[in-house]
Amino acid sequence: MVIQTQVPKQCEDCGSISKGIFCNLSSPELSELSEHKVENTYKKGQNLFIEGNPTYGLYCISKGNIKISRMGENGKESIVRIASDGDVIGHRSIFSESNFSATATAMEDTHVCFIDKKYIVDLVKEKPNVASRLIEKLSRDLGASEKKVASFSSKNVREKLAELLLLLKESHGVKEGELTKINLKLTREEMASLIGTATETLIRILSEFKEDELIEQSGKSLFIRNNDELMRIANITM
Amino acid sequence: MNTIKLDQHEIHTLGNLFEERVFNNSTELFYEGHIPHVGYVLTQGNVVLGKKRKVKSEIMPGTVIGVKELVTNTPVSYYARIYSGSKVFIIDRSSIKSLNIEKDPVIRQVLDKIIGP
Repeated sequence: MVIQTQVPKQCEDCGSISKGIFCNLSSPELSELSEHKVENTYKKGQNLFIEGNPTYGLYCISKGNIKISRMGENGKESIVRIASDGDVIGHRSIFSESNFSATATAMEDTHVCFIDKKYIVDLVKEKPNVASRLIEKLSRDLGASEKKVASFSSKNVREKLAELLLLLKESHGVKEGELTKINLKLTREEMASLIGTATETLIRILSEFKEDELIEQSGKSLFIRNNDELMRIANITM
Repeated sequence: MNTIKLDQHEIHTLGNLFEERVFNNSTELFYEGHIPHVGYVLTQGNVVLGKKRKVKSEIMPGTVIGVKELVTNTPVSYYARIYSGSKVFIIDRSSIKSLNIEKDPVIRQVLDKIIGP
């Protein structure tokens, strides 16, 4: 059984190339990378890797969305972040640990390119611009994690939900008239997990946001209506 | 799916080249229709092969899976699921390329068996 895909085979032709860590490679270098990578399309629910299992490379998301989660001590899954087009995942573990520190699961049909650890380590040693982009990404990841920790400790659920909606608007927002559609299929449980609250609480606050005309819902899709008010609730200043 | 069985001597030879890794949690090594990211040599534990969510067979320690498909960029026609506590050698594309120039006859023989001459 062969999975057909329309995604281009060459790294140079990938729509996400400018967002990743390989964007400064020359054309011949990208060709070499293209020949080395292994690409597959993951269906919704399929795992790229599982927390605690051996690392052996990193994954570059060409198209789609991947849920990164960790298991808490209470056995409950906690979503750490959503990775999408152009994102690289699994990179931290190959440099710092021998096992993956989280689980990565496809949220929809997602096209992913895998590059083995040895190739990446050699590339980082030989190409300073790749090392530089990787360090930039690690720094951004660290900054985002620190921001999330600060947000978790200082903000109430309403504020955290407003912040989440704004983040999703930034990463997955698609303008539709006066509204911005969050173009990502997230269940209420997954949204609740992202902000560390119970699903029932999330549903209640979402209803309040709808009543206050901050957001709209059509089917399973959420639309941002009042960006300024959400920013005020989330205590975010421009 | 191409599976290859190695004897103890061949496994020992590979053990000098690759680190044995432990899967702490059960997972699919690869899905039906996927090109394996890496190949595996099962050294201890359990791996089952299946199709359309039905288990078709179980492979024994010493069996190689996924290497030929990785080398030829061929999608596999079965899924492979490994169970927690199982141990493997992980054979990636970079290792295959760097070992392909190996001249030691003992190593060469094992490599030719798992990746083809």
